[in-house]
Amino acid sequence: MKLSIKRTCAVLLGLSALAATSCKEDILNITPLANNTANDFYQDENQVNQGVMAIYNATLSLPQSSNTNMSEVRSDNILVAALNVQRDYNDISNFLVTSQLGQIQTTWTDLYGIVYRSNILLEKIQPFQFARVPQFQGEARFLRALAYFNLVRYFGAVPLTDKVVSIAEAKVIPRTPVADVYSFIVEDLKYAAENLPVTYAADNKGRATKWAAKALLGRVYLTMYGYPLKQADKLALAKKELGDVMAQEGVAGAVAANYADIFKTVNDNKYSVFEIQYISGGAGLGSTVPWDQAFQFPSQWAAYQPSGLDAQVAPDLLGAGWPNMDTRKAATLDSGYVDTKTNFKSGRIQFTKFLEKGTTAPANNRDYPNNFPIIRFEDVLLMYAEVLNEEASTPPAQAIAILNRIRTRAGVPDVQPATKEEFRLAMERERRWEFAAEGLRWHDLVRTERAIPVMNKFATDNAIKLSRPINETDLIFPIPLNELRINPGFWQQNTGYN
Amino acid sequence: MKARLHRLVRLSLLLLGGLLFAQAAWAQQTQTITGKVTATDNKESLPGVTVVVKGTTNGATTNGDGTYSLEVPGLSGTLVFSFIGYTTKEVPINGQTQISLTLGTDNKMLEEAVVVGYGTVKRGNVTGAVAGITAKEIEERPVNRIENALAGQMPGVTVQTTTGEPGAELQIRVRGTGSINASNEPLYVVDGVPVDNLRGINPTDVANIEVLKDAASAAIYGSRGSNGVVLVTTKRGKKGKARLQFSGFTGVQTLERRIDMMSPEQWIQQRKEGIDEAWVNRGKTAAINKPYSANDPMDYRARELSTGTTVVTVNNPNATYMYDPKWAYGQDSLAYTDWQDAIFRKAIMQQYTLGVSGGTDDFNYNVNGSWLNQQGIILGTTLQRATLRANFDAKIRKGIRLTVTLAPSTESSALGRVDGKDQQAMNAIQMPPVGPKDAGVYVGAQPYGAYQWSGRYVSPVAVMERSDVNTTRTRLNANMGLNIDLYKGLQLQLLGAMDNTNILDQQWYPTSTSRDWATAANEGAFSRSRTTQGYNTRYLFQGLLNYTRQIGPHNINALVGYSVENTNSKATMQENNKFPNDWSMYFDNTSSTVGTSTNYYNGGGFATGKTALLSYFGRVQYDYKEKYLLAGSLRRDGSSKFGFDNQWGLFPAVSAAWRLSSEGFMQGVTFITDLKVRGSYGITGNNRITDNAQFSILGVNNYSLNGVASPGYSPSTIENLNLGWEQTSSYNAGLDFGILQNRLQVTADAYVRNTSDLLLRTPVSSVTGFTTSWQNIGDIQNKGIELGLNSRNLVGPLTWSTSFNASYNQNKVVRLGYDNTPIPQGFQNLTSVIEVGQPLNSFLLYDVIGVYKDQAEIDASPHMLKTIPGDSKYRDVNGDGVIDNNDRTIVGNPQPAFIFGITNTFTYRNFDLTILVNAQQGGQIYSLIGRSIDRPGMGYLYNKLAKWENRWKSADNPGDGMTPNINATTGGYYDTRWLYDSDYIRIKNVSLGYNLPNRENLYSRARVYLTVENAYIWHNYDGGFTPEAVNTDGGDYGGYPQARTFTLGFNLTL
Repeated sequence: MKLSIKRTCAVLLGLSALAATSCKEDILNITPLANNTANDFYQDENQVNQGVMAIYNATLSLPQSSNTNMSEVRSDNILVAALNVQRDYNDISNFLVTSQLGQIQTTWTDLYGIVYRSNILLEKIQPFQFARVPQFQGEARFLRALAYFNLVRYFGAVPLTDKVVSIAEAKVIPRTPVADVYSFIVEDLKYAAENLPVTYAADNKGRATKWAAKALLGRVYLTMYGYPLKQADKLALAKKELGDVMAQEGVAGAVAANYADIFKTVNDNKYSVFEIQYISGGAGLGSTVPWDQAFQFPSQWAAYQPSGLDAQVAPDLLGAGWPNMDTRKAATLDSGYVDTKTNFKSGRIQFTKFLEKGTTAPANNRDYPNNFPIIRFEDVLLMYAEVLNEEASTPPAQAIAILNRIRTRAGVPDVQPATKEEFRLAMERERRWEFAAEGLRWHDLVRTERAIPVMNKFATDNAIKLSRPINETDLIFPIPLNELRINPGFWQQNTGYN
Repeated sequence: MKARLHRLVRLSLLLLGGLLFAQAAWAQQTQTITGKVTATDNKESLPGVTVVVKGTTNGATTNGDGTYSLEVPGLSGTLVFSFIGYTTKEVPINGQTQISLTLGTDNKMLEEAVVVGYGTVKRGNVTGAVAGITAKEIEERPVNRIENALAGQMPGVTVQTTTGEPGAELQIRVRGTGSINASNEPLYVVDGVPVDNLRGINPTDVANIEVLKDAASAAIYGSRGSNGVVLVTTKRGKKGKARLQFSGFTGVQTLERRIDMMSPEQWIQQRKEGIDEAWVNRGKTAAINKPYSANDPMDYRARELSTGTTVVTVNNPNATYMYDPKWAYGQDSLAYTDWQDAIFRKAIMQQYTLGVSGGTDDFNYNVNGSWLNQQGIILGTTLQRATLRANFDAKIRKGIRLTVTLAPSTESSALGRVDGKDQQAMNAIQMPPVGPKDAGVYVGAQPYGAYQWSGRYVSPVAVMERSDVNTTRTRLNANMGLNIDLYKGLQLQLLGAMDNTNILDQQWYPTSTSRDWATAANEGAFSRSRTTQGYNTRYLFQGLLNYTRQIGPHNINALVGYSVENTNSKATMQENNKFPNDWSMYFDNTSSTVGTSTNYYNGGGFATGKTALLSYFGRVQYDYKEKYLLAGSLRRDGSSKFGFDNQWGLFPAVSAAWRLSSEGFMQGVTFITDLKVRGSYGITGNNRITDNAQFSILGVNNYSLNGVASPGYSPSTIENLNLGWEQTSSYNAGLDFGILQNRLQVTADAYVRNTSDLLLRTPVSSVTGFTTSWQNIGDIQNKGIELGLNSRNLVGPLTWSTSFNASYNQNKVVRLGYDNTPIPQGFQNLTSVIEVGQPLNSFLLYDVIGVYKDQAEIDASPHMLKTIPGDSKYRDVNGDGVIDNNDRTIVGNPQPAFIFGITNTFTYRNFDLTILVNAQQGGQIYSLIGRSIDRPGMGYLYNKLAKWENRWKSADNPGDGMTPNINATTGGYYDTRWLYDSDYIRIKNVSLGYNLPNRENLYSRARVYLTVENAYIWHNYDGGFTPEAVNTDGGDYGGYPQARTFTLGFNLTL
């Protein structure tokens, strides 16, 4: 019995020892094995560079979610006949937008994704001293400015933050007035223009350059000059920035001899000042734009059937309004084909600008390799010409010369606008043709205060049933409902929406 | 040789002996034994007592005054007196002709041990809500998973066979659904060790299963107890000589229920109507502008369609505008295929178990090995499983006992390809029943093309036969325990356990299963393969101190313990495609690509995880004379899954019961045998979320620079170091009573389960850079009542007993996120919604009330912008005169409100018959496959439900008033035409058994039985195979149907 008690004690002792070792509570502190936590990242220059790449990655969705679905679809370039089924682009095109619309939320989220990734990079880069720190900061601020520039044009006053915010902090960031958002954008772009390199080695081509920052700043100033801020002093500032870029023809960008060449993969980063980079390969780095901008293409053009917008190119772009001699027309639109595999016939005309016919590289229909231009060199030229015309009382010769340079390249005869107003209209039409499907049209109409008359006429011409004529409230979109619901009552919805 | 001779001699002697006995019996004078049976406690006579001569079928029953009279061949042998509710007595005859005796009440049922968390308790002393079944209800069922045998057996436990695929997981819900983003599965515990699932366990190994339903019972499992706990106890050896048990069954499975689709003739007829319609429309186009008529003959159409370069004739027709000339000759020229017949088959299922058990004072053992071989009822599907379970208990010294369990199993299956969207169950239903004669059931698959008058497709028969999806799972479950008696009533229990699983999954789809095979650049161009390897381990160490003491009328049982659990998992997957030929599954060349995604679950790459759970727990059970019962438990759990700042949770529970029947004032009430009221309250948790939900995980966000991919990374989730448990507090009130000497036993429970701090992927402001984050926000309530009833209706030579259970559960979302924002759910987030005040996942749909007969009806009723005659008519829910998105309304939910089960068991002499019926009522099912087979706008190409014959064709021919025009514009909306009640009544199991007469020297038990599983089902679900199906976003997009299984089995114990 004595022995048994001793043994019992021994067992108990052993047990408590075991308990003491195995119950150490730090065994609960398990960090992820397969993916590191973000807290361990941003440790050296290479990792910071990878953090910058992640900001660029957030811009991959921009051409579809901002330029096409929110801008091009909203403009008079695309006509969506009433559909059987609910489609977001139908509501955007026909001015039926509500705050519940998925596309509104998607665009908002995508743009704030860019903002967030820029902010975290700017926060994490602070301890570092290496030579590329200013460049990385410049890139982050350039991309953040691009995101806010889109946000402010689509939604008006938006919550503005220049740092990473917690869930609780995000709930109480007020909507910053439009003018302040623009000032913020200008500061970011000024910093970027001062700190970004003028050019990159071949393996880094595609990153934002000094010229990209200045060109975007020029566009921002020109926008501030127009609706809604109408700040007259910004015209001169725009002229300075755009002029600087224009002087760098061949370095900052170039005018291609043949319009269609601009959109070919072999000419990536050759002509445009800044473009979103895409490659095929099934790794999620390809473009969705060809898929999004066309409803169907024949199988001899592309291995994959797109099923994007069930929409039509605006009738006035199809007809004689846009002369067939304009080489841009054939490069932008195509129609009337027979699919040899399925015998499917379609007379539908669609935007095929970003579809290189016969490309075989994509792994699926959302994996096209074609870069998407954010700022083309032609845009810099035309904006500069626009500034010249705005400055003067009658169209200056240089402005007309630039306009006709673009026209000559497209194979259409010169124009000689006699008045300031005639020049404005000529420029408006030229920009529509030159940049069709690139997402500039809607913003051009808004900043020049032409959106309301043009779109009302478009609605009348195309028998679009509007519940009321388009007015100023339609020039921005509603804040997405889910965002309002995060902190009910804190943010006011834009006028005209609920 | 010697042994065989010995046996032969013994057998001969036996036969001889039998003959002699028979002769003697014939020669003997019969005698009569009489007597009276009374009850021990109140001396009242007992009518209905069965009296039989042991080992024979010769017997009698006592009559109204408790007397009996029995004729016996001789005054030797033994009489057995049995009566339900009383202990059985055996009395040797020993030459007596007068045998009277008393029988005492039998409280065995109440004395039975019930397994609860970390211990057992007498059934009569249960204070919480616990339900269970025993081996008897499991072992003769032809089921491949234990969970199958739970259906219809217990109140409050819903078992849903979401797919009929052999060996697939079942969906088990204990008292409703309490969680949105975390798991709703109960915790499974096998022999005291928590495991991931019950796969690979042979149902024959199971001794009993208990389900802990209320928080008071489950709270001892703390952070994993919210969804209930299923405790499985396997058979262990008993003292006695070695018993060899050999059992098995073999059977055939057939499709339980078909879907009523169009016949070939009906399909051809509607196809003709479609062609005529297209023809007439052609005439209306500006280019043609001729008054074409549906009656235009084919030669006219051929002439019209011919152009300079294309010559169309009756025998070289244009399939869009002209009939197939072969339609006139039917099956002489065409293959008519019933695709359900083609893909379903009669399939064999068999299982054999060989076991040996026995023991001495110091050593008990039970070893069972089994082999299951099941063909699925769909071509090309199989399941094979081999299991071994060896349970040993050894006494090492006085007071020290060692227990060991070794349970390896291996499962090899060829499954998949059937369930869900675009899979083969759906394909088989929508295939046109008419095709080219030469292709037959291989239409569309290499070397045959699709039928010209139908769409592009590939034969499901070809896919199932030619593709290969093989999964091998090897599992080793082992544990070892040491029980040491330290001091009077104080016992130390140590347990170490592991559960390891290896999974190898290989999938292979050759080009010949692709509908695009004809355009393949080379033989293997469209072939693809995928190999997944996974490894999971789970280790447990647990120490318990258990103290049991009786001090006078006070009974105390207390335990304290701690446990530590670790899990580790790793999985890799690679995909290859573009093979040089059509038979190599692996080929490493440049055209072969390996998946690059880092997310294994999304295809390709690598996944690994590790978790730890640390727990301290204790429980005290006390009773006074088994009259007043009290129990309390407390558990503290720490988990690696939760935020570093919130890793620990506390889970208390208390329960009490009062046995009124033991009170003095109840002594006079002999009618009531047992009466007990119970009450409990407790808090349990749910930790079943992804391992790393608390962290900000680094996401891969690459970008290309000048055509070359460049790596990029940024955070992909928000850190939440406060992430904690989902908590369920539950109240339970129960009543147990037994009347008429426990011939009728009733258990009733009412409960309220409030789940709070829901582990919810809550929407957050996009300004944070993200849209959702794991937060503890939201409440769900489940409340319900349960009734269990056991009744012995008939006693005597023919016995009849009934076990009935019914439960009702009401589920309601109480709070969501920060401001109750509804969360869209279901297919494309358009079919259901999680909304405050409604049951989880309520269906949010357009409510169909008919078909617009003509334009006048459209003009007179609310309608959509583009409504045309023949469209489905939707209810104008908000009454604004327009049908739009605001008219979608909540029309039901997938959770059944009521579930029922009833088992009737009859025995007569050596025969027994068991019939199990289960039913559910009050839930709905959404037939997403309706999108393929029941949708307007799908055109005429594919097969559709037979009711489409009664579709709206014109204002004069409006059909059945519910089936719209085939060109109706509503095909893109989700409406109630595809919503069905999931109510059903099913004869789940019928078993007829026969126990062979006793031959102690040959065998101790021999039994044969016949069973029919899923014998019959009544339901109104025409949009799919089974109202239990769930396979795509909470709906049924076509799934593996359940089988009706006929089996013949035996059970032999030597």
